[in-house]
Amino acid sequence: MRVEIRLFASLRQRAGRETLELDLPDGARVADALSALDWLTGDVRAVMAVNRDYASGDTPLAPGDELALIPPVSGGAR
Amino acid sequence: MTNVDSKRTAPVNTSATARPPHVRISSEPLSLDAITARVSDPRAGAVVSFMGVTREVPALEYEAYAEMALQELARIAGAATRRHGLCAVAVEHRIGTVALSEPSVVIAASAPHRAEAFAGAREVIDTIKAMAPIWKREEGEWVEGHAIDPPPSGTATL
Repeated sequence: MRVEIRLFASLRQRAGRETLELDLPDGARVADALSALDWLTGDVRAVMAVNRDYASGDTPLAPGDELALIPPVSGGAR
Repeated sequence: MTNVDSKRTAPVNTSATARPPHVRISSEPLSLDAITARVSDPRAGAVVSFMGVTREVPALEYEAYAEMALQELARIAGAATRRHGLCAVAVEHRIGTVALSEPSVVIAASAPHRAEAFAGAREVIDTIKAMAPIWKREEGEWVEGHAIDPPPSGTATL
C-alpha cells in the first residue's frame, strides 16, 4: 500500500519537501513506517500522527490515512 | 439540572454546563483583550489571562500542523476545563513571523474562584508546550523542542 507522510519543521527542511510517499506491505503498522523513515529522522525523536492523533507503534495503517511525522515540538513562548 | 442557591438574588445561570473552548491558529497579531472577552461568564469570579511573548531575538518564526494543532488545543483546553471546573477557556496561537515582545500565544481561563483559574491557565500553556504540533525557528535554526512519547502499545491513539 502507498501512503503519504506530511513533514514539518526540521524534518521538512531536511527532506527538502512537505510530503513523502512510502510503499509499505499491506497490514503495515506505524512502527514499519517509522523504520522506513529512519534515513530521514536519524537522531530526531519523531512520533507519528495518524489521522491527527499521536499513534503507538502497533497502530495499523490503511491507505488514505492522514500520516504526519512530528519532530519534538516547541510551541508557546520560551 | 436545577441549581438553587439562596444567596443569589439575580437570575444567573449557574448550571455547570462546560462551554466548548475557543481555539484559533492565526498568522495575524493576537489580542489579549479579545481573548479575555471570550471567557466572560456570569458564573466566573476570576479571569486569568496569559500571554507568551518572544524575547531576546528580533523575531521568531512559528510553524504548525494546523489541522492537528487546532484539535490538540481544543483537547488540552477541554481537559483543563473538566479537571479544574473552569467556566470557559480560550486559546490562540500565532504562526509565521512574530516580532520581539509580541505574543505568540494567548490564553484566558475563567472560573468561579482564582485558584482554579490560575491552575487551569497554567495547565493549558504547559501542555501546549509539551504536546501541540507547533514549532519555532530562531534566526534560521529550529529550536530544540520537547520530544513526544508515543502512546503505549495496545492503545490506538492518545
